[in-house]
Amino acid sequence: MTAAPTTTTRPYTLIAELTYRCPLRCPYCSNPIDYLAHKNELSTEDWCRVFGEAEELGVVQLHLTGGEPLARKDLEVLVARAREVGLYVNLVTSGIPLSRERLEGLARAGVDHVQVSIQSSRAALADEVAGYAGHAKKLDVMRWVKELDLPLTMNVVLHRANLDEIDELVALAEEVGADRLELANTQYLNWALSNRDVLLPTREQIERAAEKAAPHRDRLRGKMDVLFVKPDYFGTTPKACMDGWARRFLQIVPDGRVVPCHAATSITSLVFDDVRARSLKEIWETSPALLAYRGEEWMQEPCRSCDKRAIDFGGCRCQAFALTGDAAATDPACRLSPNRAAIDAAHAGADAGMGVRRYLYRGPAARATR
Amino acid sequence: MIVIDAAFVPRLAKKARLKLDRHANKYMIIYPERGLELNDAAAEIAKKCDGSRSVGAIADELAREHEGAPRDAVEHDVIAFVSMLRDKGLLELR
Repeated sequence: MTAAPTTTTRPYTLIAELTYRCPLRCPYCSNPIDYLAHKNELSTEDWCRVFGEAEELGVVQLHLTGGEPLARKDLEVLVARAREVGLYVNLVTSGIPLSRERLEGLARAGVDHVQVSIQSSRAALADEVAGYAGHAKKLDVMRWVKELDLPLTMNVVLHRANLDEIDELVALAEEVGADRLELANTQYLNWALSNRDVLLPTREQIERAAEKAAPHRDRLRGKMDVLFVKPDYFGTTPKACMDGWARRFLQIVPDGRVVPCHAATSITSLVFDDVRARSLKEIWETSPALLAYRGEEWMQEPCRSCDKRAIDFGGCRCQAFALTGDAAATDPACRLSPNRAAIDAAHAGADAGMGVRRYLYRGPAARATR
Repeated sequence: MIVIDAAFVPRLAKKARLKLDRHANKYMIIYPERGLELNDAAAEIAKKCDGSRSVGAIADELAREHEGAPRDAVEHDVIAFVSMLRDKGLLELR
C-alpha cells in the first residue's frame, strides 16, 4: 500500500488514445488535424507501465480509445493489464473492424463496458457522415456486446444532419438493448471546427431535440441512461470543461504526450511531457503544460472575480485558444466574454451554410465530397 | 419503475463494480464513465446487495451488527440507498 498522492488534486480517469489510426473519416473527429504527423505510437510495454502508474496516482476509470483502438493488435494484452491493476476498462470503439471472436476475446480479457459510436439511425446518412459503409456492421457489434452480457453505451455525436432523429436514435438504442445512450452534441474543436459551418445546427433544432430527449430520459430512468447536454454555443454559460484543466482527467495521446483533454495539443503555445521520458506522477504534479491552467491563478477578468469560477473553471481552454488566440481568455461561450462575438459569427457562418452538406472528411488528403 | 420495499432482493448491476478505493480508503461503486463514493454506512449496505437477501434481511443484519440502531430507521436508510441505486440504473432488474 503506497501513500495517497500528496497533491490536492487526483486524476480519476485516464483517457488512453492508443492510436490515431481509424477506418472512419468523420468530419467531427476529435483527433488533431495533423494526426498523421504523430505515428510514433507507444509500445505495449509503455502502456502496461503507464496503466500501473495511473492506478498508483489514483485513477479508477480507463478509457481505451483512439482513433480506433481495435487497430492495436495488442489490445487484448492492454485490457488484461488494465484489469490486473484494478482499472474499470471502457472500450470506446467504432466497432470496425471487429469479429465476434475478437469481441469474445476482449470480454475474456476483462473489458467492463463497450461504447459504440453510431452516426445516424439511417444507414445511408450514417455511412455518408462516417465516410465509410459501416453502419450495418455497427448494429451487429452492438448486438454481440449485449449477447456477451457486457454493458453497452450507444454514442451519437449530434449535428445539423442528425439532430432531428432523437426519437429514432432512442428507439435504436432500446432495440439493441443499450444501457446508456449518449446524445453528445458536437464540440467545435479540431476537425469539427473545420466543418463548423456545415455541422452547426439551428437554435430551433437544439430546442426541439432537447424537448424530445427529456421524456425518453424520464421514461427510461433506471433502465437506460439517456444523456443529452445542450451545447455551449447555444447557452450563456460555458461548460465546466473536463471538470477543470488537469483536475480529474488525464489523457495520453498515441505518441505518449500527457494532455488534459483530447483537443489540448491544438494549443500551440504549450509543450507536453512524454511518458517515455518521465513518470506519470512526475508529469501530473509538475508538467508546466498541466500546471498552466490548473486552479485559478491563470485567470483573467471577467473570470478572475467571477463567482462561478469554481463551477465552470472559465470554460474550455482549447475553445478560448481556437476562437481568441489566447488560451487564458474567458471561453467565448460565456455571455460575459469580451469575445462573445466569435460565437455570434459562428452562427452567422452556419446560417450561410444551411442547405449545404459538403464535409471536409478527416483524412490524409482531406477532400470535400458531395 | 420497480418499488423498493422490504421484500425486494437487491443485486448490483453487472456494470457496477464495488471497489475499495485505496487512495481515499473508501468504497466506491464504479460504472461506465462514473464513480460513486460511498460513506461507511452506504458501503455496508452495498456489500450486502449481492442478490442473496432482501432489503428487510439486510436491515435485520445491520441492526444486529450495530447495537442500538433502531431497526425501522435502518430499513428506511436501506430503502433510500437501494432506491438511489435503482434510479442510477445500478441494480440488476432481471
